[in-house]
Amino acid sequence: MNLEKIRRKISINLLYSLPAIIYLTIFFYIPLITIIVYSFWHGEPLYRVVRTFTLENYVKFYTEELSQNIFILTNLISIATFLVILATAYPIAYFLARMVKGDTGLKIILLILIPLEMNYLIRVFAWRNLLGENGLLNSLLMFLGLVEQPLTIFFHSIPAIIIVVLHNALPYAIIPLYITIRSIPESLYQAAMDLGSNRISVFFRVTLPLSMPGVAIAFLFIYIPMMGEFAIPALVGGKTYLLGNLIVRQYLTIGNWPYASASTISLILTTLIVMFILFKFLGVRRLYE
Amino acid sequence: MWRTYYKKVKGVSKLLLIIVIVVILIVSGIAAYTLTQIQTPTTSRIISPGKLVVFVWEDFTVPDVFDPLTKKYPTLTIENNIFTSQPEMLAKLMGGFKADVVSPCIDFLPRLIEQDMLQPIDLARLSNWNNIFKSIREYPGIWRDGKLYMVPTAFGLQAGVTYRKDKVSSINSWADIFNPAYKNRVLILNDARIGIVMAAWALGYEHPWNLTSRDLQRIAEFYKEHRDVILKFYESDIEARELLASGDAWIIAGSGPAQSYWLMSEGIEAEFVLPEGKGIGWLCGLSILKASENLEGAHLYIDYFISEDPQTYYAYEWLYGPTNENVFRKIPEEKLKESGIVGPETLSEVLPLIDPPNLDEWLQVWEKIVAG
Repeated sequence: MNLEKIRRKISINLLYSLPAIIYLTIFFYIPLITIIVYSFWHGEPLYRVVRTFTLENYVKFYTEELSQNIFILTNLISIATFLVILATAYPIAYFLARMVKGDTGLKIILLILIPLEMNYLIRVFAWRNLLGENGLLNSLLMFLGLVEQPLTIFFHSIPAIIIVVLHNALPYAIIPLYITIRSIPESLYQAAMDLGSNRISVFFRVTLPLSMPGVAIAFLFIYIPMMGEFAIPALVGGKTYLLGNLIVRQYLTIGNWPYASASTISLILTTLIVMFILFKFLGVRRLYE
Repeated sequence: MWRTYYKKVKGVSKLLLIIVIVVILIVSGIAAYTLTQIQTPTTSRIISPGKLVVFVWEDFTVPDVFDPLTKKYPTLTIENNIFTSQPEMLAKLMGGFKADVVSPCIDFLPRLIEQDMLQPIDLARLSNWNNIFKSIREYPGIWRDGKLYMVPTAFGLQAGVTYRKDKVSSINSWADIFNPAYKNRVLILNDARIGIVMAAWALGYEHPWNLTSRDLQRIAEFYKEHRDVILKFYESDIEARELLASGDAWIIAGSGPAQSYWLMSEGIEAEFVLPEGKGIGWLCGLSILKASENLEGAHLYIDYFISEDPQTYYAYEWLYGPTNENVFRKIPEEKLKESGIVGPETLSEVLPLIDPPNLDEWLQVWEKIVAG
C-alpha cells in the first residue's frame, strides 16, 4: 500500500469517526475536564468557589472519617448487590444457554428485557408499595401465616435497595453470562465427560472458569452504576446514605462544587482501577478478540 | 472475484461517506439554529415589548393563576423559568442566568441582596401594597437601608410536627418525637437548619440560632443516640405525606400544617402541633433582579400576585397564608382552623428562618448526622 493510499484511508477513517468524536467531546470530555478543574479549586458551601489550586478536596475525601465510612459502605453494598444478582442470574443464564434448544433462550431474554421499557422511577416507586409495611410482600407473608407481624426489614433499608437493584439490573447480568456460557464449545463438555468427569465437576472445571469473563462484565454492569447510585437509596433506602447521595447533596444542596467534583473524580478512579483489574486478570479481553 | 468485491466495497464506502457528511451537516445546522434560539434570551437579550423573564417556584406558574394574568395583560409576554430549591436558584443566578423577577424566601433574601443581585422595588407602582398586612409590610427582613427588596406574597408555619393520631397518642414536647417506641417511624426534614433546631429544642436550648461548636457536637450525639427512631431524612412534602398515609411512618418532624389537612382529607386521622409552642415561620415573595430590563412588567407581575384573586387561590388550594389582609378576612373561621392557616402575628411568635452565624459548621454537622 503506497503512502497516498494510507493517507486516504486515515482521512476516511477519521471522517467516519468524526460524529463519535464530536459527541464524546461535547457530552463527555468537556464536562469531565470541567469537573477535574473544579476539583482542584477551593470551595465553600453555597456555591462559593475560589479559583486557586489546592489538593484539599482530595485530602478531605480520602482522610475524613465521614467520606471513608460512606465509601466503604457503598463498596460493601455494591459488592453484596452483585453477589445477590449473580446468584440469581447465573442459574437463569445457565439454563437458557445450556438447557434450552435453539434460539429460544434469546427470545426469553428479550422477554426479560421488556420490564426495563418502563420508566425507571415508576419501577422504583412500585417497589416502595410492594415492600412497605402494608405492601404486597408483607401481606403475602402474613396471609401464608409465615409471620405474625409485618417485617420491617424490607422497607426503607439496605435489603430493600438490593431487591430493587436486583430487579433493575438482572438482565444486565443475564446477557453477558448467557453469551459466555453459550460460547463454550460443546466438545469441551464431551471431552470432560469422556475423561470421567461428572456434571458437577464439569461445571466447576469447565463452565465456571470459562464463563468468568461474563461474570466480570456482569460485575462491571452492576458495580459501576451501583457505586454512583443515588435515586434508589433515596427512595427505598431509608436513612442509608451512599456515595451517590453525598455527591448529589454536595452539588445541589450544600453547593460545594469543588468537593463534589473531587468526590466524583475519586469515584471514577475507583471504578477505573476495578475495571483494570478485571480486564487484566479475568480474561475479559477474550470476549471481543 | 476479489476485484469485483473490492469495487463493491469501495462503492459502499463512498456512499457511506456521503451519508455521514450529509448527517453531520444537518446535525450541525440544527444545533447551530437551536443554540441561537437558546442564547437569545440570556446573552443578547433582545427584549420584545412587554417581555418578562421570571425565575420562580412552580406555584407561580399554575394555570389557575397564570392564565388570568396573561389575559389581564395581553401585551406582557411572560417566560416562566422554574426552580425547585433555593440553593438551585442561587446557583443558577450566580452562574449568570438573567431574569427580571425572582421568588426568594426570607432566609435567602439577604444572600441575594449581599451578592448585589436585586434592585429596590418601587412602591408607587404597586396598587395592592397597602392591602398587605401592616406587620408584614414592616417585616424587617424585607427592607435594607430603607429600601424594599421583597414583596411578601405568602407566609406560614414550618418545623412543626404532623402525626397519625391512630398510631401516636400525643406529641407535647420536641423530645417526644425521639421516643424509642417510635422505632423507624419518624421522618425528619433533611434541612440542616430546621433539623438542628428541632434537636436543639428537644435538648432544651432556648436560642437555637446561637449554637456553639460544642452544642452542635451535642446535637450530633443526640441524633446518633436516637437514630433508631428515624425512618428517613425526607426531602419532599409529597413523599413524607405518602409515607404517613401508607403507615410506614407515623410522625413528620419539620412539616407545616398543610400535611395534616391533606391527610385528613384522605380519611387519615392526623394532627399538626407546634410542640411547646415552638416552631419556625416562613415568608416568601417576589423580588426584582438587578439585570431586569422590564421594570414596568416586573411591577405589574408582582402587583398581580398580591391582588385578591391569586391570593384567594393560594389560600384555598395551597393553604398558604395570604399576605393580602382583605383576602385573609374573608376566609371563614372554620376553614382557617382546619387548614392551619395562621395570622401574621404568629410570625413574630415563632422563630424566623435565618442563617446562623456559623452556617458552614451547621452544614458539616448535619452532613454527619444524615450519613450516620
